[in-house]
Amino acid sequence: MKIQALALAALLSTQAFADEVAFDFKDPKGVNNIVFKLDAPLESISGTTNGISGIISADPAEPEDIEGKIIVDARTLSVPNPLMQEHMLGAEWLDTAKHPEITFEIKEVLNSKKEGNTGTAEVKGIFTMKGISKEVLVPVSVTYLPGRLADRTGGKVEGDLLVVRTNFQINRGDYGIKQGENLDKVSDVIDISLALAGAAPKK
Amino acid sequence: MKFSLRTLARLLALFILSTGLSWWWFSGADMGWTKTYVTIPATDDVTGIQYEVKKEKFVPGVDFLALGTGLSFVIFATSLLFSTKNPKIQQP
Repeated sequence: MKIQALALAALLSTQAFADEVAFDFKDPKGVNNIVFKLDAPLESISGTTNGISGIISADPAEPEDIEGKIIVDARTLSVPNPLMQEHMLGAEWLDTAKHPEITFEIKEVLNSKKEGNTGTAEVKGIFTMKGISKEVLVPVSVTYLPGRLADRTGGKVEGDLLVVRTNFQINRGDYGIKQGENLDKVSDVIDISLALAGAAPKK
Repeated sequence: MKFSLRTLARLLALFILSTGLSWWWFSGADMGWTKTYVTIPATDDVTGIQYEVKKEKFVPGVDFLALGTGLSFVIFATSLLFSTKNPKIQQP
């Protein structure tokens, strides 16, 4: 009886593990992007980055139940004004020489709902910037696109895609970025929008 | 036709002011900072992800306008130091 229970547990855990697919978010097409906006009373700043990588695991049957980590190369953050960019990446602001990565690690998925290939959920995770980590709760939409990787690679690679979208806000002061300073020109609130596609090639 | 240094300096100031103003105006009179690239929205057909494609383009902003205007005023102010008369050639 005990052996049967153990065998059943092993079978179930193997099945659960087998259902999970790892999606790689390093996108050679450069489509994956994060947009950040800061709207201060005197100045509005908008920038982007394509320097995104990371792995998210998801069960295609339950695409909203995700786990993993997204990594942004902070040195690739870009704004159209070169002087502003130099200041943004410099030691006084993001200090990308010492803190080259901005990360978001998924810890827990809450209130998940599924509709067709798309799922929505609130994801609790650890957002790390300039060496400071804070727990944040972000609304996430996840779409599973089976067999669509071939369409993006001109038929060279077969596999699935997972599209993750989210919009959330952080306060730069919480991450030690000139807390309470220059608020008239550089907003404390940063609006962040992510639209990322991860690829899972068939083995 | 000979110009005094004062006149030459003022013409230069006028040229810088008008060029800077015209460049800024005809580039779209952007009220933000000067940009070295612009972004063009695009959509990925497969995923539907909307993204921005960067295109290198110099778009002068208010800092460019201020720099041109400031420089022309400095040259104009400097022109006041010059004499209004042409230097006379001394006959032996």
